[in-house]
Amino acid sequence: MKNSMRVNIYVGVCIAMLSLNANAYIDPGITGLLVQGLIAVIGGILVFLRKPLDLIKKLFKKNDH
Amino acid sequence: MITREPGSFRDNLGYVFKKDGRIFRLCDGSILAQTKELLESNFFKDLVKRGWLVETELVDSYVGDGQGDKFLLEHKKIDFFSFPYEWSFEYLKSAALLHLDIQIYALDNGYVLRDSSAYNLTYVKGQPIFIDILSFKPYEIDERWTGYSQFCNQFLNPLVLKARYGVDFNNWYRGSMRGVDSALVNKFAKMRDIFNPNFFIHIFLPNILEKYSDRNSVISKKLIEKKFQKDSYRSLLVGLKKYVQSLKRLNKKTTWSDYNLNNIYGDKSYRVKKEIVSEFCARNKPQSLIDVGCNSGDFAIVAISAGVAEVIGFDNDFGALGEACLRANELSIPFTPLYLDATNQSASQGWNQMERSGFNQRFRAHAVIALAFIHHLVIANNIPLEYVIEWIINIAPIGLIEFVPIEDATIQKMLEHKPDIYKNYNLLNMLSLLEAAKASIVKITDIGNTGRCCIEFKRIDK
Repeated sequence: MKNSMRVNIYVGVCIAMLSLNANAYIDPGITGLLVQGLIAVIGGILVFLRKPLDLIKKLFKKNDH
Repeated sequence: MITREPGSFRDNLGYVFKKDGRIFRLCDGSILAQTKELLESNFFKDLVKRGWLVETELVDSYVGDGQGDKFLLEHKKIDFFSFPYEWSFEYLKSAALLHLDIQIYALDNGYVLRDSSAYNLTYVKGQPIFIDILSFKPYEIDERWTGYSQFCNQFLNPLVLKARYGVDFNNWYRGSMRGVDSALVNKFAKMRDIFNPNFFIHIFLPNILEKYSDRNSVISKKLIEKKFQKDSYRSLLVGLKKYVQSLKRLNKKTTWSDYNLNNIYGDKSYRVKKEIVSEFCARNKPQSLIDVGCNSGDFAIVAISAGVAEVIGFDNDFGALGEACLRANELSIPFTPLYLDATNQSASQGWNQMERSGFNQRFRAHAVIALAFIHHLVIANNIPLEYVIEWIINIAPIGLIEFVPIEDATIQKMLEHKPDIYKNYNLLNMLSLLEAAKASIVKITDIGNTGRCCIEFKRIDK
């Protein structure tokens, strides 16, 4: 799966987790804060996963040889 | 008595005013120390040196205006102030990149910009420049980019509108002081757009969140409270910069986009016209010149070669305008091509109809040229000839107006499907209307054997 696809699915799940309320008013400033919050969460997860992912990649590379 | 500029009221820390042709900014005393530190920093001096930031100096550290301590800054004067809805795609893109470059450079030096208004930038001699010194503030640990949504509305969304869907943003932009909302761009979105990660994060997601998210939900609160590290802040800016860099104008070919190659003149007549402009500029030596109907900038280039220090061009064809911007940039010449629909010029608008002044308040020059232009207003749009003449004469005290006779192929094409009701559209009447508008005729020069001619006028000022 392409990286971009993975990120999109993750963010989609994050939105689904927000309790949906069509009547709620949200000002554009808060929207910006929410997007940045999501970016921070995604960034954190990617950093957290980087080491184990690198390890797995190395394992596969060894197998190639 | 200080009268603030009508558009300078949104920032409570200071405002701009003009005095004796100079530009000042009266600022709140509470930010004197941090402003002094900023002005003395190498970071600030470097921004000015690069031409990214308007030259600014502290004129007076204490000014009592009866409303608390104030201090006074002076900015280098900008003669022609344009707004984002007058910019081509290329100009808005360059301004967006400059804004992001300044943001990244500021962050690396311990500063951020409080807002991302596109009105904080303008163009001087074809180059974007940032003008709002009070936007800079010291970076605070874990703070968010407060101007993020504004950046999307005023830079990213209009650029995406043109790049992905070929929609010219200027009239949408002019219609709202906020810029172009993500909701509007999403109306054009196709399923495949959502799979573009940048589109998803910066355009699709904000729209969904604005519609459906509940700010009081636990997750919303957690996201808002989530620490936003400096690395994330920088990554967001760098990511947006890459996205903006990747955007290219869609629909490059328009009616006038290759005017310099396919105009109606023969080579000889076109050369004659260039010679007329060159001789006019060399003889009159105007410091600034406005070219209405500039197309891709051929005559602006001639004027600059003849010694004009600054040319502002106007056209309503986005293809020609885009080409003009690229040429001006490639040649590094003091030429600023801007969007203008002469039948619906930029109006005074915004708060109390004064926040953003209209075309007539901002664009006056030492000379004006209107070549192959007036028939588009008179014949194609039914603007009375006397109105057009009066408008051109008010732009500058001297100028050149090309007269295209009614028998000309271009006009005959315009009249193919409409009756000829333009009996007063003839050279004799035009000359008498010029004189009635208090302009003397300096000379009339034929443009080869096309039947067209250039009328040089001089306004008789009291």
